[in-house]
Amino acid sequence: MTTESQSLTTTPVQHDPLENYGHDRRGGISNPILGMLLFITSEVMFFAGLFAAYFNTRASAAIWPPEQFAHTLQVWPSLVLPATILLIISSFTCQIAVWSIRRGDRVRFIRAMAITVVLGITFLVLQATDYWLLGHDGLTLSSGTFGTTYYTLTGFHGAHVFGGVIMLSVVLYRGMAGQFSAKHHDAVEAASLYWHFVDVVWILLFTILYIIPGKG
Amino acid sequence: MSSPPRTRPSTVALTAIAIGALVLGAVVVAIVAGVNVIKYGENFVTGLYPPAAVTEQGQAVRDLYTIVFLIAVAVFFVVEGLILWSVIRYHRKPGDDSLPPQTHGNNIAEAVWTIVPTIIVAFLFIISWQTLNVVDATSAQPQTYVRAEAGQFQWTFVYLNDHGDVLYTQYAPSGKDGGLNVPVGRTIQIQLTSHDVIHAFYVPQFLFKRDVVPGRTNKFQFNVEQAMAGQTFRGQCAELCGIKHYDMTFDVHAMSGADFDAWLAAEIAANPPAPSPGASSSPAASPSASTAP
Amino acid sequence: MATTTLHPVATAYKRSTLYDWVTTTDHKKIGIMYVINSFVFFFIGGILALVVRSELAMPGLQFLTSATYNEFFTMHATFMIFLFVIPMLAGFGNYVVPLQIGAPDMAFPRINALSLWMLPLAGILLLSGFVTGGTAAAGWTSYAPLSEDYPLSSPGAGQDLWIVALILIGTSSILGAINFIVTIFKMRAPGMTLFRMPIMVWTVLTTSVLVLMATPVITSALIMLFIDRNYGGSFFDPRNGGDPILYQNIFWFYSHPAVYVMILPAMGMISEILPVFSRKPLFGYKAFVFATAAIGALGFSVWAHHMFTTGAVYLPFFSLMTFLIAIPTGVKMFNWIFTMWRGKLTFSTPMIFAVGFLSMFLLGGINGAFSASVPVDFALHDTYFVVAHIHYVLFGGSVFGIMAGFYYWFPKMTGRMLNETLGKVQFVLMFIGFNMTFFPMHELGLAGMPRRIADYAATAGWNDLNLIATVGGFLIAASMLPLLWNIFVSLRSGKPAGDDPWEANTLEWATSSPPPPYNFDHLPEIRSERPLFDLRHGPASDH
Repeated sequence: MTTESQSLTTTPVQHDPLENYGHDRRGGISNPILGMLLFITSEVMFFAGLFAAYFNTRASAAIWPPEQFAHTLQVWPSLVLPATILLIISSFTCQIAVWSIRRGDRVRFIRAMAITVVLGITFLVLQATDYWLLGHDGLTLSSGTFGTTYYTLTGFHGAHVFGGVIMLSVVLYRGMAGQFSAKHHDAVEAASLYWHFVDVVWILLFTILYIIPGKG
Repeated sequence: MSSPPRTRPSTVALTAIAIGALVLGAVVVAIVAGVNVIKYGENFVTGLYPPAAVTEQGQAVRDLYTIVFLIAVAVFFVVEGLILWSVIRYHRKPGDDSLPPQTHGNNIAEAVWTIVPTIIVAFLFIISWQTLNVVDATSAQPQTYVRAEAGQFQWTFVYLNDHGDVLYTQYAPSGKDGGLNVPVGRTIQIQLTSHDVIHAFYVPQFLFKRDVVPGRTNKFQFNVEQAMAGQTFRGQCAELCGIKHYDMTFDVHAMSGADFDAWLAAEIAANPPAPSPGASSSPAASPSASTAP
Repeated sequence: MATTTLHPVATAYKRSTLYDWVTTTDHKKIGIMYVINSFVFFFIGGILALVVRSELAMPGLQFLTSATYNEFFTMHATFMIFLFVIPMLAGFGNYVVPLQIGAPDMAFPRINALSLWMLPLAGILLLSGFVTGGTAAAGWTSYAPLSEDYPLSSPGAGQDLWIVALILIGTSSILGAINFIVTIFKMRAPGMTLFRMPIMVWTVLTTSVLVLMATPVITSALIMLFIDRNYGGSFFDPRNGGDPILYQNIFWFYSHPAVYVMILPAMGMISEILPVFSRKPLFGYKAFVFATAAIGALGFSVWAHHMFTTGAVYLPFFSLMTFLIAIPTGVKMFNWIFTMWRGKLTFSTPMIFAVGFLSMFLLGGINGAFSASVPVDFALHDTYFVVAHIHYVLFGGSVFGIMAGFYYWFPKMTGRMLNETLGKVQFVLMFIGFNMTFFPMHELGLAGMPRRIADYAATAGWNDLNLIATVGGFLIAASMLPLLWNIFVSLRSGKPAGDDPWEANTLEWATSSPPPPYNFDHLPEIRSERPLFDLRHGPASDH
């Protein structure tokens, strides 16, 4: 068998290298949605680092939360419970928007997405107000380990809600401009996945910070 | 597939011979020039060893090191030998364009070089764990207690009794009149506290170090061997702690038990102890820090 | 000049203006810019190392203050790790992976460009510390409380600049990882199943998973440190109930997988080069894939072996996992050796660097085993023994691997061959210089010389070895001269490479050198991990 180096003697098969570019004809998850899922994975690991810090700090404290701040963690009456309920509702409205555009129902999609954005903004406003009240109560980032962990965890969650609101607003705008259809709405799916992630993180955070009893 | 008979040595073999001749030549020149080649050779091998241990625990570590070192040398020679052999033996002859046998793998080989290394590392893990239990062993009743306080950039040694009361504070970390004095043959417990950042208590001849972490008190124990009485060992901070980290040295002076007791009693008499931060505030009752062996 | 029947119809069109390069989303140009950016920071990090070595050549503080010395070794490591090794390997991945899987580009080309341009920006932020009152100086590990706010650390914003720059670099890495994972899973050419992918692609995939999962954790640690330093936070500040050990745990949870990020793609490159220059397939392809996956997974379980001396770690577990990681690494070593075994080896420069890699990485793995044994680590931690280990795996391993990959793929990237004689000169100088610099450090560490010290006592007995190490360092620097000359000369008048100068196995050699913007006009049948070999020799030949 000839092994003369540089001439390939058999005829190459004529595969079109671009046949799967853009949409993988083999089916399965689309590139942008897979990308968003991976991004969410990285965000989960980011919060994992913050939660690890929280748990470690709490474990080495004799009393948690410190007495002068115990009242900041009451679930009701406070702004935190209504904010939580609104955020959970927004996940439902977000999913309704996704189901609508999957059916091609643009009207319901826009309506549901708009409600989601409004709910998201409301959550941010409630969170900001809560911070203002806590600040007046004397709880700041420099209030020992409790203040540091509280504001860092809830603050970065809030930042992610803010990012999510931006994402959803862009999706809403594009939807209103008629850019989505039943067959082509990857951005909606991706943004909704992110929004659900943000909601799940809040449920975890809310439970760990507010519901789980303190110690000491 | 048989290879054609060699008519002349390959370039690789020639290069190997040339390098070997050069190295040999360099050694000959060195001997002629009066360089003590044997001493350098010995130093090279001993240089790959930690210093002789002066504590019982350090000796256990050194014995472990010997085993690890021998296994490491054996593994190195076997694997490096295989590499060099392949490179020399399987060099392509010029003009030979045929393909060698296209072996894709061999499951038995994979099993062998998975199982054998597993056995080796399991062995290394077990003997390491056993030695660790010796090094980290804590006896219920150490005979001497010292708190080594680290700050930027100086060590302070506070001698305590078994209740934690301060007996005497040594502010000079090194020198004839400073440093950490320890009695040989007794169990000594060191407690490590830091005023500011992380430091590390490291004595190379103990084959040991432990971090000094602010907010935490690490403790460890050691026994200096009897024969070391009268010797001084170097110590140095081994965790970057700022701009004078390089200068944060200390001395460890080993003394016989009697000398140590006499020294401590004299220091306590000359300097009535004041409570230092972290110690109990009750005044020291009697200077009975250590029980005689 | 040799072409193949797969030679594309239209080759790269002439639009290589500066504007084209700055705005491109072509993975090949982006990959080349990653490589160039990484080389620049390799030289900067190298100069910092030379200054450090010059100061240490003899006892006494000759020309640096200890404060500046601390800045220099901190920045040396920071540049080498975050702006040289990691992005250099990402750059090679960027260039090679889409070609090797038969794809026209990465999945997200614009995000690819974003990932690239974040790097020089981060580098400028880091460099700016030198002219604005001092860089970070707490080591590349930046342990708290030394890295917390003044007076524990030095005054000035150097540490903050460092934190921001690393967050930028981390973000660039994470975006790159997402890109690689989607590209590899979704854009392979027909016939290329996962177990027919080149090992380079497998290592880049594994690396990307590590980057995706681990980098965000150090981002969280850096943010927490930033809050401590600037907003009165107390995460790691013991003065307020914080825990310095918490920083170390979170930091090393990333930084240990990071070392596999720094070695796996280099191992992938070696796994491409050895089969080509042995003229046989990689021995044990599947074992390789599983070993790579095992290293990736185990890599997450060993982080606290950097913390054995803290007194705050469950020692037996981390020691055991650390020993276990030696096993898949050994499997790889033997598979590489047996790729060469009974082969017909030619020693072009890529192959010489690959064999150098094998020998030097072997030493790095062996001296790592010493540190895995906890009692031995008590003696060796934070001494020059660890510096020796680090450099045997990162220089002897990663850098030699990078050099092998550079000589191997330079013809594909530029259409020109690099000069073989200059390449061999570089290798000899680099090999001798490298061993001269770092082998003595084993002995220095065993004798008790700690790390990160600006000066040492003249009576400690460390003078001779330090001087030898410094001379070796300058030899390494000298070895850069033939490399630079080689690049300069070959770009202008190197021998034209043709499509497939090495008679290689994988798809990137099935198109022109350099490839057209869309990479391929035709793809061969893909029925094994060596589609080009099959095309050349026919599928029935001996496999």
